[in-house]
Amino acid sequence: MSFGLTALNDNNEVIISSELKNLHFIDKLTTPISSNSTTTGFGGIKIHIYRVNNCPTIPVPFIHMAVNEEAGVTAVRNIDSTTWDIEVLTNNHNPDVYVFADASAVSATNNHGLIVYNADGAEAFDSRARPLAVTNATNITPPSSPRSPFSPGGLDAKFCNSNGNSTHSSGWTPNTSNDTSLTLPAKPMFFYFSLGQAELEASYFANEEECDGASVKGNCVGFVRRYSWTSTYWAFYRATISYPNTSTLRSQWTTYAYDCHWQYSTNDGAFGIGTGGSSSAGGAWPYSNETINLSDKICIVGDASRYD
Amino acid sequence: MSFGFQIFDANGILRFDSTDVTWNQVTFYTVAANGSDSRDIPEISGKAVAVGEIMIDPPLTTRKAVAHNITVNGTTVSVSGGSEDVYIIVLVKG
Repeated sequence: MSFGLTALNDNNEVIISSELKNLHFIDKLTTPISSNSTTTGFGGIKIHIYRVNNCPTIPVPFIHMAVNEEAGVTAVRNIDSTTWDIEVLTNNHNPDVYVFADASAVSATNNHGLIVYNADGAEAFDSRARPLAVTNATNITPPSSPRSPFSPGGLDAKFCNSNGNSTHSSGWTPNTSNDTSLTLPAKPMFFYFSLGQAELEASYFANEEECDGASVKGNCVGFVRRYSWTSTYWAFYRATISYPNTSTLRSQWTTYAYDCHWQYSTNDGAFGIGTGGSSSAGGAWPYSNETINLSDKICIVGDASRYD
Repeated sequence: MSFGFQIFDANGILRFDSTDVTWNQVTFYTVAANGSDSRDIPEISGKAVAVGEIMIDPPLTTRKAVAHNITVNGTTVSVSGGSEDVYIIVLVKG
């Protein structure tokens, strides 16, 4: 380099450079601005929105949750030039979000420390805001399906009458995971953007017939009304992470939403001749019965206690 | 420590030193739904690279939200094939 500063760590890795941008601790968010879909069913669902203010560049969120609690960042939205919303899916708990960003978001006022500038004059490193230090990183992939086996039963075919009940919940609660050995600090925080998505669905059918007349060898002679019902129950999942202990990182699925779609139809007839019918439908329809975006995703780990 | 550096805050608390490890941000940008982007990023040369992809809109259960494919070939980062607007953030270590 012909200008600037490069600082190496004991492993000869660049940790401060006037050609890069260090990430700095901006804020610790413990209270979301909104939360919805709270339930303990389906393995637990709670989706939070955390708001980051006074941040002119993209926030890089690290999540801290307790042992065995599941979480993943599912969206980041730019509200205005300095305001961002971070969506976090959990299995019904409230994680802490540690927000990091490049030095343009640092608002320190004291005059003590070290500032490194890029060639264009922008700050690359500012020790007045605590720089990000990481403890580990690895690539992780969730299992190919949220459930194994997936064989739900006992749901009502009529008008989604079982939607959200305990049978629906137990049949769709995710039960698969992939573990990775990784040394974690006592209070870990994770940088993990959830891209993996999965949907599981099962359809149930029922038919009934009313005959105003005689039944001859199973066939109605007279006026007949035939009814049919279909209910398709489903749940939608996003990839998340958890840690059962401080030597294991777990990749699994957490339920993001569940619902049901139903169809109902009637067909009338008289003496073997159709006389008309009707149909109706309701409920929500899922996108598809598959898993997508399954490739390896990086998970970077830091020590949250360093930023408390 | 007998070599390296330490940076303390105004209260004398050690905040960063040469035993630390970190990932640094090189750049971030947006790639549109069904769009593509390919750019040369010389700063990633010779370093471990992590490219994060963040969906801007929440996933909708009524349609697929397909992630973009990301490839790193030398110092070229290519992004394509996704159905959603995304932020791309490029981090390096090394």
